[in-house]
Amino acid sequence: MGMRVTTGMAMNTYRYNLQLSTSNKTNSMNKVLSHRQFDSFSANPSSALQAWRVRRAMADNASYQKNNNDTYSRFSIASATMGLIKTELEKAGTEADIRGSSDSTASARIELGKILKDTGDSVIQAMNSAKYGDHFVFSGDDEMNAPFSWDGDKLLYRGVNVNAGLVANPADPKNIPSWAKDEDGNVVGLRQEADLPAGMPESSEDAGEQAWIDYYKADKAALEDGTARPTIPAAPAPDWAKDENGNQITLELENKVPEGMPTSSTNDVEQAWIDYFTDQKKAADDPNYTAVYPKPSDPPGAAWGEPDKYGVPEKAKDVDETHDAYNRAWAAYYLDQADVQRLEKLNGAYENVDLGMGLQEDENGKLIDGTAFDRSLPGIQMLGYGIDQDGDPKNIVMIMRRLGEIFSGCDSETGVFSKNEEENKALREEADRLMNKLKDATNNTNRAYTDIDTKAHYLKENQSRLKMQGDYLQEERANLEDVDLADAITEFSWDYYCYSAALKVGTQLLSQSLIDYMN
Amino acid sequence: MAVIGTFSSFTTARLGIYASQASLNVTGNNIANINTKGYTRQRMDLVSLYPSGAGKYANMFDRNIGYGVLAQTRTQLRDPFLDIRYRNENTNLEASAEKLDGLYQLSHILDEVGKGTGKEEGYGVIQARLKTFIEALQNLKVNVGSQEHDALVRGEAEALVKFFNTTANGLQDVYDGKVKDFTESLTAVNKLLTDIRDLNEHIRTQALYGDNALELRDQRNLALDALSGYMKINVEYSMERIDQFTEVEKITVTLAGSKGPDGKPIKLIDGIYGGQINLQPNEPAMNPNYDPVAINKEKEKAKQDAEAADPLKSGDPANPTKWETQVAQKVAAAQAQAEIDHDKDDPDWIQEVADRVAAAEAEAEEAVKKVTDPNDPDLQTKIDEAKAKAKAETEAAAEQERLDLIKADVAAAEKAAWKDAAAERQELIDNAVKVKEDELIEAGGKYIKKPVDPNDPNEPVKYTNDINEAKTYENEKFLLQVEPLKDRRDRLMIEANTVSKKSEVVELNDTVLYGSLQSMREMLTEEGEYASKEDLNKDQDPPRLSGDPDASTKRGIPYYQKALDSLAKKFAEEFNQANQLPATTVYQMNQAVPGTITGADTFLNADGDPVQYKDEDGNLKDITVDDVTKVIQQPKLDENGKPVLDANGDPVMEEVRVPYDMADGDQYEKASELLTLLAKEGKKDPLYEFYDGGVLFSTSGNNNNPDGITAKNISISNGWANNVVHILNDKRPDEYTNDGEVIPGSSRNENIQHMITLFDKKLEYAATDVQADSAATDPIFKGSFREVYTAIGTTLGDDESVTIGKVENYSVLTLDLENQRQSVSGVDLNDEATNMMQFSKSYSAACRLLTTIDSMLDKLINGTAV
Repeated sequence: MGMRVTTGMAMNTYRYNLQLSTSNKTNSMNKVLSHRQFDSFSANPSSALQAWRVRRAMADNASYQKNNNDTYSRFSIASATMGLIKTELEKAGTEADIRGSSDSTASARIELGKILKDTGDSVIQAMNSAKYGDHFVFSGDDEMNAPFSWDGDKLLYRGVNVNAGLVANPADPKNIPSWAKDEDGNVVGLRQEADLPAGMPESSEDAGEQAWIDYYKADKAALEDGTARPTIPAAPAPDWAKDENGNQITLELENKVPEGMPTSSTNDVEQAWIDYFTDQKKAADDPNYTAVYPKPSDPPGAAWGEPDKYGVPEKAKDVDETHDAYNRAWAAYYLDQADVQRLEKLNGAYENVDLGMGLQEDENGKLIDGTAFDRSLPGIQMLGYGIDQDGDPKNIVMIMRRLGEIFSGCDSETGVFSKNEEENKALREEADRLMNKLKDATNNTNRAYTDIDTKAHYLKENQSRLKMQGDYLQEERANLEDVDLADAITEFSWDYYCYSAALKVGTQLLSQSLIDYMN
Repeated sequence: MAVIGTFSSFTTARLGIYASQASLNVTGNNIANINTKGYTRQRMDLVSLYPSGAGKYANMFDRNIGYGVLAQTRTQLRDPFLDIRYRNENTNLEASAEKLDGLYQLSHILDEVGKGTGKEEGYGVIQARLKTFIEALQNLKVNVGSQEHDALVRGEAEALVKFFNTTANGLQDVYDGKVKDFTESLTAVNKLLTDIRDLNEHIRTQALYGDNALELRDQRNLALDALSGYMKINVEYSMERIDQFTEVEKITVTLAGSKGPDGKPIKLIDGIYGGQINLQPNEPAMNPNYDPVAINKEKEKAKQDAEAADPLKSGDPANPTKWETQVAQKVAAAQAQAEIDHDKDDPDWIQEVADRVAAAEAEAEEAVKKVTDPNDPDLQTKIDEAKAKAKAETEAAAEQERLDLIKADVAAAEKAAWKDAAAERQELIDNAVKVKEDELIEAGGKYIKKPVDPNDPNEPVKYTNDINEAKTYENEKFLLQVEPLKDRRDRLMIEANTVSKKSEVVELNDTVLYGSLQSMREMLTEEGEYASKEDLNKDQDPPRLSGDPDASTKRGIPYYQKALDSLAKKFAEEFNQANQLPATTVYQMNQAVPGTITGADTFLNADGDPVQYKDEDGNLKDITVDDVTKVIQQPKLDENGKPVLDANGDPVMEEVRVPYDMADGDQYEKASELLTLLAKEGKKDPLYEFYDGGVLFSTSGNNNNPDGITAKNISISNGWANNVVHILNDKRPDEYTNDGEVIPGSSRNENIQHMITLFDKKLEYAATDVQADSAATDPIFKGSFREVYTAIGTTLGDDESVTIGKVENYSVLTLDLENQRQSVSGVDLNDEATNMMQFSKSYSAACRLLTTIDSMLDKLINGTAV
């Protein structure tokens, strides 16, 4: 015999199953309405977790795309500007080739000078006018301010002289004046020499006088060499060998500054050496005087106080025109070197953006190389900065400006660079050198252009990569979260059908029992 | 033919009618109660009436024939084994359903799947806010220094912390609601226990009168079914002997799987005795108002006041203190006493002096005699002179000795008097302090609440001011106990097999219960990985009642609260740290040794004076380097960031100054406030003139204190809200020209980039970050902020998903068992209709029998032998 099924049991089971049908129907209805496969973690923990991961990636992807777009726009502007500059430079280069040649006319040279100067100016203008919104593209990490400015003839990048490095290092042997060093490059000392009597002739036919001449020459040599002095000739001393009191002149050693030392110089380093030797001589001549003037090749050291972060000692900042040449030379050198460092830093400015390359920091909070895109474009990177080993500017604008000066300074009739032959030669050499360097600098600038263009191209490609990734993520999200409407509707129809059936069963369930058939 | 009375056959017919009638009544009752909850199908037990034994005059050919039918008793159709199985499953079902209810409530708050509106649809709430916060930072990054964008970031941050607050408050609401549910459930359980006990008594009484009280049993079974949802119970039926002839049935309800102090299962009901389940009194608890620091301060002040009011010495002879006067009086008395003790005219003393004089004179005489010729005529004169001299000297020495003794006595008395005075004064001062303390205790509230009388029934919670006495574990709050078993008249049950041992309170440990009550307890107390060693009952001897070795895998509301706190805290910590530079780098200092930072160096303001702050007592103090930084030892690193090793291969340590962090507690709080003050008043190093960093997130919008940040209190710091602090763009020092002018770096944004990177940084979250005594040593989470928030949701979702499965499973099983029970005990209309027809027919048949017998008798009486 089977299990006894009572009315209550049937009712309980019916209620439970009706509840289940209702719940299923509601769930599938929600799926159709929300288009979502699940709307809580518990409904599908693993898909929900995956969906969050995809959503995070989508949010990140949107941000990468925005960053990439933004960066691409900047690089497009930068690329267009650099293209413009390239054209200008090419034009100027062609002009220079034609007009700068050695046999060109005066007017051609003067005209070329103007063209070069103007091109330089317009390059700077182009760099300054490259803007993305309010942001200057070529300002490195100071986008709210124009990158280049002029201070007289000095070109400044973010307030720093781009020609930094020009000031001579007094300690560098090559900056020691040639008269102050020997053949090996070592600094010479004071000379000790004996002066021959003032009126002594070179030679004499008179044997006695000749003996005196020989005597003095030998005595001078002996004195300077420190060897035994010769004996006085027997012949009577000629007049020139006597002083005003009629006594015979005796030779004595005297202190002398290096041979060839000028009395003064406009070059601070040379002037410092002049001052140095003058002071040394004074001390040698006067036993009561102690030399105070430092050797120009010796740096001032601790006496100038603590150096700042650029290595500029405290006192260097106070030196002005009233100070002596040593101070001026060293102060100028320190300040110039500080600018060199600043240029290095400004050139190295960076601004990292996250373009989806897996941005990551190391344990010290520093970005790991290659995980971010550096979008800063310091203008001096494109135009060059500092001084080369010949002491010429590396900045293309400064080269053109100097060339412009040389060419514009040509004699308007003859076309020579200077009427002074020596100066003319020097200027011609400089012009030739600079013309070559202009070509190199143009190449450099073109390379920078190519570099920017390549990066712009990369950004464009990255953009489509990110977009594709975004689409893929969207698809993945849809796969995880969204319902297939056909499935959902079918499921809903089925659940609804079951629900209706359950209702129908309910009406049957309560209908009949044996009691209904009893009389 | 049987020898029966002529009319006995009528009786047989009548009994048949009665039996059918009774059976029909039972059938009617069954049909009437078809919808009554808990009703058990009844049946009329009919027995055949049969004469036993042979009659005295019985004929050997007689055959015994039954006398009819008796409607003996109503019985129920019930299977106790099914009851047991049903109740077990019901416990499972209710335990899971209750847990699911808690998880559902949590998931309404924490589960962000599919949430979000508009553009953020599907991105959740907090998740979406984290996303928009990054976007705001990205925008600020390309608009460095823009106040508007800084304000936008702040706006986003504000929205984010508000959502943290809302979520935390939501969790708190769930918690509070569950506490209410729990106490209501306890009331319901206790009502059930009372009902069962009372029903037991009624059934017992009925039984004594011979009634089996079926309807009362149904009610009791219903109550037992309901109780089985709250906790797993064992129901045992036994017979209770009332007297020599009578036994009645009794039931005993125990907590399944429990073991009481006597080693037997813990009883909830024993016949007519029943217990109640209540919260263990949570005593003693730490007095919430007790503030030992404040009290000590007040006591110290009272002591100083008392000392000042009653000085020992005045230092002014014209105005002696009472102690000086008291001592002076004692000294005077001592002087007088000494004078008496060492009286010059004391006969003993006179004798003593006379003796000494005599001895001295004799000695002097002897000395003179020794050196003088005996024939010297002046011998006697010399002797007399010497004796006179010796006498005078001895008398003077004795007098001096007497005076010295007086002086010594007086000095000793003075010393003793001062000692007494000091002790007396100290007592007065101590008294004053005690009075003050009593006053504070009496006043209550602000400083201290008087420990409550433990016997005061109106005070449910007992307080202590001793931390060692206080229960400090959160989960002890919901420990339960079974009250002593009592009958309806509150008489305590005497334990079985004892003479007079009365039923006692039984404390329940953390794990003994199982059912919806326990699920609520776990929802209210379980901290998952945040559980402490005590919670896990590790190394606890004796084991703690609240301990549970599995506590680290059970996660209730506290777990989610702590996890959220963990996230809020880490978020605030990382951003606060990212937005600050060491004060010693940024601000100009007055250095004792130029170029070397020492702890005592002070920070300068624009005028070159030290920046000052007011301490707790309102005194102005200079901010020192020690106030805002601490010295730690850390491995020295070389240029490549690798540790420098010594000859033994051990890392070389170096001392470095670092800012305080959260682990420094109060000091961190103080340092944070001082740094905000420095931001306002300090003079910056020219290279850090741009610095506008500081604390971004604090515990309240009114302060800059990042110590103790939770999801509930995390706020935008006062400094940030009031524009004293901004998002710090860059941490690198400025570059400057040869003229000392700063080279503008208007788009330097390395630090903002760092903050953006923080969002994807995989950080480790230790349990001890928010729960200092947590036993877990491994990080609970590792991942970015967004990942961790997702992980919290996933943990909840997983638990929920498993619990849903359990509930569905147990629902089906319970339904199945209920059906099985119904199969036995339920009323079925067809059954009853059949019965109805059957009994109706038997009723008719009995009637027919009666008619037949009647016609038989009629024939016999009227038709026979007529």
